[in-house]
Amino acid sequence: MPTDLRSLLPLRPVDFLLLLALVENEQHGYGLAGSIAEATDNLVRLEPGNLYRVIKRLVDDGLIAPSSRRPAPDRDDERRRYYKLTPAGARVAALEAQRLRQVLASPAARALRPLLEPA
Amino acid sequence: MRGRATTTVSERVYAALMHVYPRTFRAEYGDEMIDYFRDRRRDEHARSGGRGVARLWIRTLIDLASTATHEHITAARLARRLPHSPNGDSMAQALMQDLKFTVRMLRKNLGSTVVAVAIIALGTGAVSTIFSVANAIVLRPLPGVTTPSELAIIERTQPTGGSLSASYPYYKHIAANSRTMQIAAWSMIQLTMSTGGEGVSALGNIVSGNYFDVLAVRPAIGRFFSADETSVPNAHPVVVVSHAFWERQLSGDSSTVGKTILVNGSRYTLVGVAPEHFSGIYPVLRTDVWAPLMMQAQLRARGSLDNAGSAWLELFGRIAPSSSRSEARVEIAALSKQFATAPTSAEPTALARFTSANLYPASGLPVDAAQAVAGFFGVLLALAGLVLLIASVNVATMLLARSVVRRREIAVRLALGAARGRLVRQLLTESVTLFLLGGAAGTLIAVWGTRLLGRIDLPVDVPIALDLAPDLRALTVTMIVALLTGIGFGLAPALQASRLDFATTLRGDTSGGGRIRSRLRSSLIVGQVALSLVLLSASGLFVRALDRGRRIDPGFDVNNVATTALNVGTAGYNDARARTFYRELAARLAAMPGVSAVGYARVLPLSMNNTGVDISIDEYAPPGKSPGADFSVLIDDIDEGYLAVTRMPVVAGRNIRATDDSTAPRVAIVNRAFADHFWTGRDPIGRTFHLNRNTVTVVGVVPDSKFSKLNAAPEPFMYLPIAQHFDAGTNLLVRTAGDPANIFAAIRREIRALDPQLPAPTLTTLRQATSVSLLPQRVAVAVTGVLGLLGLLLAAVGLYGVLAFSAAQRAAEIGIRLALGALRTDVVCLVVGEGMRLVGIGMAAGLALSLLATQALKPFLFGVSPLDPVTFVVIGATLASVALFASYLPARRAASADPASSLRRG
Repeated sequence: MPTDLRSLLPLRPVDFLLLLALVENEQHGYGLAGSIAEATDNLVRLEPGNLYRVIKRLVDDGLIAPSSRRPAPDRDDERRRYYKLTPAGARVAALEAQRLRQVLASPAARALRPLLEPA
Repeated sequence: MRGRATTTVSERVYAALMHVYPRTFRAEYGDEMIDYFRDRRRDEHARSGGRGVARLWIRTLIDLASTATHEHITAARLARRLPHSPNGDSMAQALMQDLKFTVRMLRKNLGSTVVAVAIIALGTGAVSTIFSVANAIVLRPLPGVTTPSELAIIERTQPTGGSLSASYPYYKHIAANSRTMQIAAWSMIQLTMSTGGEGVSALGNIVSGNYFDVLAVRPAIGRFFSADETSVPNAHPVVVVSHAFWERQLSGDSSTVGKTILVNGSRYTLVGVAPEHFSGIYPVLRTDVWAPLMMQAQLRARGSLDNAGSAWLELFGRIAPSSSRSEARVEIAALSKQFATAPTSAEPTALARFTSANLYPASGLPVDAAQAVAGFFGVLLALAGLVLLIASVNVATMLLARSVVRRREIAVRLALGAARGRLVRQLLTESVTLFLLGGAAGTLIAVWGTRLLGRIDLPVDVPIALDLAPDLRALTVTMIVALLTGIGFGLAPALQASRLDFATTLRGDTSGGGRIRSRLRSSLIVGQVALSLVLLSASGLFVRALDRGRRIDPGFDVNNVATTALNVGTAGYNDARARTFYRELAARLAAMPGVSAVGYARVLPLSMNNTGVDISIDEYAPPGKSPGADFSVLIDDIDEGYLAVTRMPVVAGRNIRATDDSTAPRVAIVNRAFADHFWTGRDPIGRTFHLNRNTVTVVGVVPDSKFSKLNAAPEPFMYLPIAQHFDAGTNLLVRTAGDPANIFAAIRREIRALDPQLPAPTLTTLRQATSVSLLPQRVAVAVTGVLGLLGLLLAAVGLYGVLAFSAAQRAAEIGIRLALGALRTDVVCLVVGEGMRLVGIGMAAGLALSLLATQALKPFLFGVSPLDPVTFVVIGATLASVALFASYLPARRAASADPASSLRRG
């Protein structure tokens, strides 16, 4: 359990994406991978090895935890484990979001905006 | 147990590959990762079918390799085995760099990468397939059984050799008095099971009460036998069925447990279902039913359990943890002696001679088969290993050829200060990655190959159940083999490539070095060609033998005869009822249009099923014995219609008649060889011999024919009337005017009309049934053919690699020739000539080897000469043309090179 959450910043991008995916609701492994793929427009596709490495890292750092929620009865396998954000994890995600906002607000970042093609 | 989603092979393979991760990681997240993979696979499959799944597998394998490495390093770092590094470990970083570079290089040369992986896959696939089969038959412990290493098969033996089954009194004595072992008894029995309608044939085990306890098996549903059911004779008709039988015949319905089931027509209670995959002590045979020994009188109809003269049981036991195997053996041997020599023993002297016993490990195979089978697989594995060797050499050659092309790049890297060791490591990573990918692909080939093998229908009487699919052990072995081969065959090219004198290379001066090494490569090609020739010639010879075997006249007419095995004894008929049944069936069938003859026989000729009996002839002395001593002859029991069905003429005397029954004098028909052998020159009709204390008179003579083996010389044979040696099991033969298959339905109809409870008969033609005698040749054709073709394919690719390498090295020389006016065809001839020279030497060596090796095949060739010229010419021509094609491709590329640029490139 880290004493100073700030020491964890900056978060690796994939770590931040995973924490974000858990803000709204608890998810299991496959759901998380799907959310992350959706959120990044399929740029970040996590294979099982990678995904669970990240999960393990975040669990070991105390930012997420296995949840006690059980799946709906129509699922065909009760083994699925769900994960939820811990209070520390929520705080770290918020701190990272704030840091990123500061980065994007800098004059240099703003000067890059015209380079984006009109959406 | 609630239902679980069925696992596909992909998932099982992934689950096995999970073992690559560190144990704690796997324990924590393993199940989830498998679930994840399952979902991904399902989605990919739904989205883009097989291709999507293949792509998923590639990504997964790479992910597996990289993340497992990372996790192991993290774990090692935590255990303080590796130094902590803030920016990632330099070793791990280097490894990741190498991997990334490797993937890039492999993707750039996708063509040759795919070919290399495919070749390695063939090699590792062959090894993996054979290993999986060997694993399933020889190495896998008995499924469903706990600690099979404590189990032992007990065989009663004679001090002078030979073994004996156990009688029930013998079993009781040994089991009650042994202090080192817990002993159970069992025997195989054929049963007819039914839930009211048509019966189905099932292989059963009739077992002692502690059978399941000794094997330490728990029931999946219900229970096993209780103490009462296994101690009071004939009072408790209960059975246990296998899991597969329960799913197949009882629809997996758990409410059938506790209800009635018909066994051989009698009402039994189904008390339990055995756990999944459990199939008794010889799991190769698919056992469906277990019944208690106490019901043997009803199920076997063979007299009392306490008959000390009836040795029909097999014994096995579990050795107590406090005893050693040798202690147990000594005790059982002593107890055997005690039983045999007891003054109150009711054993006949023939059995009392067996005063010792031996213990064998419970390997899952019958004792006499285990060694032969293990040896057979050893040979197969060695052959497959040879194929892998060839494949690896080819890939190494290809890697070498590629490294020549990359000379510039390597020289630049060396000049820029790259450490030689680092370079070797990177090149080694490339080859190891290739081999590991090949190994992974090889396991997929093994999965597919074992599935194909599992579908082969063996023409044997008992149902064989083998789960041949590769398991974790097979996968691990394959990957380790791939890894070691990759390191072994990747090291040499890597070392050679890095040993470049880079200054010279950069300057452009390329005097081709390594002449000795190229000689090694050339001789390897020669070896491959030679070996392929040997294998293909063997295959060709077997094809010829098979052709000749099919045309051997067996001495009777196998055409237009429908046949089926019938055994009404397992449906509960007694002798009288059985005789009536068979008589009526024959009468009905004979009356049908298109049927010209109907007959019965205990065994079919050429079906590998012969039986013999001991007879004695007063005036004949068997070799080494006195006149009138016992000796053994082959026999068959037939009825009066058999000779007509098989169109065997009676050349002297008369045929068997319906009146030759149990009330009439004992008679027999013998063949020419019998008459010549025992009563040389004298008329056999009217002569007598002794069988089972009866005097039998010879009443007829038939010509010699092939009874047991196609290539056997005529041996003495006799026919006995089925009515005088009755058994409820027999073979029905029906001769038809036209195609016998047309009459199958009619035969089934007649049998069902006589008794609807009988299981549906399996009908086949006599031609089919006797073709099992050609099985060894058929198997040999397949095995040597496949291996030979594989070898040829690999040799062709190897040849291509060697020629491409040599042409690349000689690019400057070829450029000069072209510039000086040589025609492109001259260049082609140059390269092809080099290739064919190698092939020529290889073929000559192969021919010499074949001429020696094929002599060993003589007994199996039905008289085809081991030096058969047709075979060798055809095989030789095939090999030469393939080699020609393999040489032409690199030749064409060398000839089409632009001389100016190849000179410039140096």
